[in-house]
Amino acid sequence: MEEPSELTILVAEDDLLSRQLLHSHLEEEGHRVLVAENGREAVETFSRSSPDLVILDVKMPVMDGLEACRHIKGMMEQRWVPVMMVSSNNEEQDQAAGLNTGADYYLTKPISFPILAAKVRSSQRIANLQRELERRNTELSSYYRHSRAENDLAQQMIDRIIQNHTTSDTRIHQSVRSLEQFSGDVISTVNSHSGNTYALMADATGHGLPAAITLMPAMEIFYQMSRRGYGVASIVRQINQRLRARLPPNHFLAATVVLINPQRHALIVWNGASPQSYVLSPEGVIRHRIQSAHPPLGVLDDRDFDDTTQLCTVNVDDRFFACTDGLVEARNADNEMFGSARLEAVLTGCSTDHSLVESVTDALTRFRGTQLPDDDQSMLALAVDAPLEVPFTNEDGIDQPLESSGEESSMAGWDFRLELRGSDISRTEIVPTVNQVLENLRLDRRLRQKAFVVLTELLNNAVDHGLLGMESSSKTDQGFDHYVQERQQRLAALNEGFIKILATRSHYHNRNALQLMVMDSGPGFDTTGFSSMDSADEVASQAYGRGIRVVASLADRIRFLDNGASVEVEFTIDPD
Amino acid sequence: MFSIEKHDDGEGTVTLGLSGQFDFNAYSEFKPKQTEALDTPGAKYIVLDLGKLDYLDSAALGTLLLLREKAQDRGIEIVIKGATGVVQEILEIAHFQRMFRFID
Repeated sequence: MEEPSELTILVAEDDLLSRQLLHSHLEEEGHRVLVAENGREAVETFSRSSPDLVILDVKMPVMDGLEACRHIKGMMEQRWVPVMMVSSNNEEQDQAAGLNTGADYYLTKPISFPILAAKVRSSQRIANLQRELERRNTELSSYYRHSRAENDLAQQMIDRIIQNHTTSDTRIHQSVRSLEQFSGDVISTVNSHSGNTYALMADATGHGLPAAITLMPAMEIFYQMSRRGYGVASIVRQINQRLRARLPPNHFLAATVVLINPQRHALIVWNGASPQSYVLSPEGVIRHRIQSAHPPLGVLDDRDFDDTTQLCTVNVDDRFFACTDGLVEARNADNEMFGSARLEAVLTGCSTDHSLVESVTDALTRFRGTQLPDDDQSMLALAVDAPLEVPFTNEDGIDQPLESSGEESSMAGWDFRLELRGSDISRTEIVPTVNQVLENLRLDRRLRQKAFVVLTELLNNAVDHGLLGMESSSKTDQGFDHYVQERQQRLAALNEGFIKILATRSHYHNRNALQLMVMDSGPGFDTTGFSSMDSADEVASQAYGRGIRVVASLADRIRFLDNGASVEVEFTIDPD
Repeated sequence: MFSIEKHDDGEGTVTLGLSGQFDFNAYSEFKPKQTEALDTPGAKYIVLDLGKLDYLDSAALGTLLLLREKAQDRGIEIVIKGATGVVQEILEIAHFQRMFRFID
């Protein structure tokens, strides 16, 4: 125990002799002494001088010791100070009365000075402990305030990223049941111009700022790449690579990335370390369970990373449901986990009339009872849309104004050609690549978005029908599973043939125009019914494939060449 | 509660037996034993015996990944032993079998 040091002691005693005796003994022990002649003076001195110990005589004029003790103890909000009562009464009742007013020690007169000295030292040890506690307490509250501020910052940064990218969509239901602290769950969704829906559900290790630091690059990459039409495999590979390069191995992201392509009836999922997700029929039958197939993002080196996705066939009004582990691991008062069996029981039979998110939330609330959650419980439900017939019109869906390009002269223009052969066709993200070039060539955003959709459709046709020889007629509801699987197999085996893309920005016939041509090495198709350079409206009115109708609704002119193995599309660019 | 026991067989295998809840709070207890195990002369394997472990959270998974990285630098292999029940499930969901050798 550390050697007691000098204390400031307040002595309240009305009797002059007793006061002087106490004063001199305590000074001899090395303490500083403040004196008061009655209870009121003691209270006043206490509030001015914050002594380390108070010695109060019980019987005093003006205000007695018991009352003074009550006042003094009532003033100790911040700091505990021991109080010693002194009285000539040695009756148990009087001692008890003194202690009941909050006094910590009781001494009887005549005072034994050795016992007083011992009690002062003992009170000093307690006061030292008390002061140490106060210091730690102050440190802790300051640490807590810092931590709160950091946590708020983390939440604000994540909210900001989400807000910057949010599009309202009634087909997407999500709930991040967040604790007061930001605990690392995030859901991001993107609706692409071609009618696809992307979603990222991620659960970062740690809480607060460390979790936000892991999430931010992942979210930025997700938004950027999904906007540009990259596939799920490319997106997860990129996120993994970035996290692996930037963060130590104990910071990672359990994540599910999903892409719903209503046109292909395809739902593509990469699940790394997330709980299993589900595909539900409109009636609430679980049609697929998608298990975690990979370690979390940010753990494996790029060469070990596996971007293999899982493919499910989906129809209109099917629903995708995913959640983070905080939901399945939620516990009730009996310490049981909610678990996937209970979750599946809720999902099963939950038809499109009911919100999956609300149903699961209700069940979870009932299960948990009074037990408070100790982790985020996040969930995401996506409904499969009908394929878009007209992805967007010139008036809506586009958040940015036309970029001005005032300095362009009428002689300006460019050609851009991309040819892919054999297995490079399936290995390349063709549309994002072309889109990137068009962006660098400063094609305005609105036109680029149209070009994006048109290219997607034309390439789908060229690859599916031209190169893979898939039959459109097999796209019946029963045949979709087969179609999707068959397409994937043929694509993986593709090692011959070519796709050519030609983009031309030109000024001729007094018109500014963008032309896109997509050509494949396939046999073409029966273009009877398409006269040369049909007006797009005429093609759109014919009962051809949805893809062609979409193209026709966006383009100003459309032309089929080489028996349909080449398609040329033209957009008029409005004069400046 | 979390506890950890170290056993060195003197022939290159150091076993760390973990029991209780392996979470964020366990790190301060885990770390010194981990350092001892890594610094054992002639160590070839560090066996993490999870037979008595009730639960592990993502911070614990992160701790295992850090240990793996440190072990790789010293030419030591990490072996995970005896994981059952919810512990086994958590490790499977995170696909740790891709990064660690598992034994019964």
